Amino acid sequence: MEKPAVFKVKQKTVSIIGLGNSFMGDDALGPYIIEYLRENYETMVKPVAEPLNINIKLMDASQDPILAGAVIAEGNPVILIDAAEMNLPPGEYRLLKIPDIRKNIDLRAVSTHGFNIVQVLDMADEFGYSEFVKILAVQLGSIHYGDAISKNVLINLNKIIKEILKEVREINEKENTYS
Amino acid sequence: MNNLSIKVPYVTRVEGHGNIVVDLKDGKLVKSVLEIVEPPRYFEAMMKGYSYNDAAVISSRICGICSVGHQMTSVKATEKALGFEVTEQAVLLRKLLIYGATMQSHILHIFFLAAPDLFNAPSVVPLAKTHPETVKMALRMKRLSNDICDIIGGRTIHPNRVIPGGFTKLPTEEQLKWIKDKLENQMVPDAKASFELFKSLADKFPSFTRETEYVGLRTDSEYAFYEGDIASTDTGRVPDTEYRTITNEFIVPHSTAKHAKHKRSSYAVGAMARLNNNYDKLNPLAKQVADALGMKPIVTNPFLNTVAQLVETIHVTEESLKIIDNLLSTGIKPERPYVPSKLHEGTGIGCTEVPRGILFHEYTYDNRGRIVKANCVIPTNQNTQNIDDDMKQLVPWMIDNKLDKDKMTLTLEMLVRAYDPCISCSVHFLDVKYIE
Repeated sequence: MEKPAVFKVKQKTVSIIGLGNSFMGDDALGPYIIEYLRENYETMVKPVAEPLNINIKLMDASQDPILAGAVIAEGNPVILIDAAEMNLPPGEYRLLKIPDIRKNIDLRAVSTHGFNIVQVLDMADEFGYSEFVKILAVQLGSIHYGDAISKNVLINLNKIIKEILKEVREINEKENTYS
Repeated sequence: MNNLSIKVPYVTRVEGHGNIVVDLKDGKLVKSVLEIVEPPRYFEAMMKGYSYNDAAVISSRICGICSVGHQMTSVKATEKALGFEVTEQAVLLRKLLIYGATMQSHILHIFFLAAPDLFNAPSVVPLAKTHPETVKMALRMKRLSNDICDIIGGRTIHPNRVIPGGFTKLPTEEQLKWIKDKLENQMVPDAKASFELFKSLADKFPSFTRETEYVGLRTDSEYAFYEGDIASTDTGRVPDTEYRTITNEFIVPHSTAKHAKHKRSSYAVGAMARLNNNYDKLNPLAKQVADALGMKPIVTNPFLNTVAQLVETIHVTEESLKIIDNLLSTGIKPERPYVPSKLHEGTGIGCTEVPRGILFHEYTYDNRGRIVKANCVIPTNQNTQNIDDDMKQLVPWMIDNKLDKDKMTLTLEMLVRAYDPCISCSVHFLDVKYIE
């Protein structure tokens, strides 16, 4: 019997990449989550990674989306965390696939030397790796220069992290089931 | 062609916002400039009153791509002003960090910003489909160079381990061995493949040339990045303390970034200027590549700055391997950063060759180690007048060579991109009134 068409990954490595400007209010959320996961690696990341024998890589790509592109180009699953304008209440989040991004969602990663996250996602498409990329988009509230991350967004921090780690487990599960 | 009007608003594939404006009337070139239209950012004013420990943290935020360069130049200025001592090991690690930053910036420019023009593509995105292995190679090279910054500097962007007096945390020998392995087995083969690629693209660069003055650091011992005298192809060497006699910044109406001039109406900094001043110090493979690509001094085609960046990428790869071997031969010594017994007033100048050229920071401190005065002279500022001067000769050259308007527009954009300008860096300054 033919296997169903499913999300399929090549290796048990999942990269979680934070994007955004640490000085721009809620745009700092991506780098902040990566820093938070690094600081709490033993209690938050390791308990997911070890039992599943999965390698979870954490990267703060800040305002350099090409770094995310470099990881995507390796053809392993990637979860990008970025602030987005989705017309939702601040702090609400959505786990999106690349085609979802085309639907009028404004990712707020700052362009670095004329290169932005949307181009990186386009590149993932061209490589044929778009199915390996998920975007955890968080509705931003304030992005004023010099602001801290707003309370409305931070209040959802644990829920956002749980969503990310849940997705890591699901990626692993899909690999074990179908590959 | 007697009349021509070209306006390229917001040149793409450069950092920041700049416009190209060309106006030819009755065969006479009325205007040919790069307008820098970003508002000033007042970093020097922001730094006043802050502690010597904060100077590099603040100034490195001038730019995410150039953060290592600003950080390094800042700590060097602070160390000179306050008399801090830095160990030989710390200097070697700083050089390694600069080389990592140079690699990553050059690779970004060569493959992601400049190469699409050579492939006649609007951006790198279509190349991911037509030349996937080349794009993957570029991404691999970029990632490794960022990893070097991460390991040595503590972070990929805005590294935090370099402070006045040394490092807050040192890399392990295992990490250095990892970098060495990656450089030898990944970067060197990728760099050689890049050379072959650019050899095949040689005829895609416009053949335009214009003599100008080339300014870069120079030492007797090595291809200068970390330190040296200021060398000019026109006037020779002067110590870095005399940088203002070289930079002579001035203001023009069409730019919120300052311009600079020395012996001539303008001068150039950056990879090609460094190469023109340091060719004899290139490492063997880099020199071989430079020769094969026709990059023997004095190179006067500004479009070839991108090729000079490739030569430098290979040079700093070889240089990084030498430094790692040196560090591993003695082992990493557990050093602490220098701590001053007493602070005093002082002024210091730091200069470093960063990817886009020579960068100067000058600080004056009070006796509590607080910044009284700061001045930063950015490579892109030093290149803007040279770009304008190039354009003044390029337009007639394009007319003589019978380029159509679309090709002229592309060639002008290619010229600006060749300088790899960092416009956000260039508008950092303090004392120009911006009128909307």
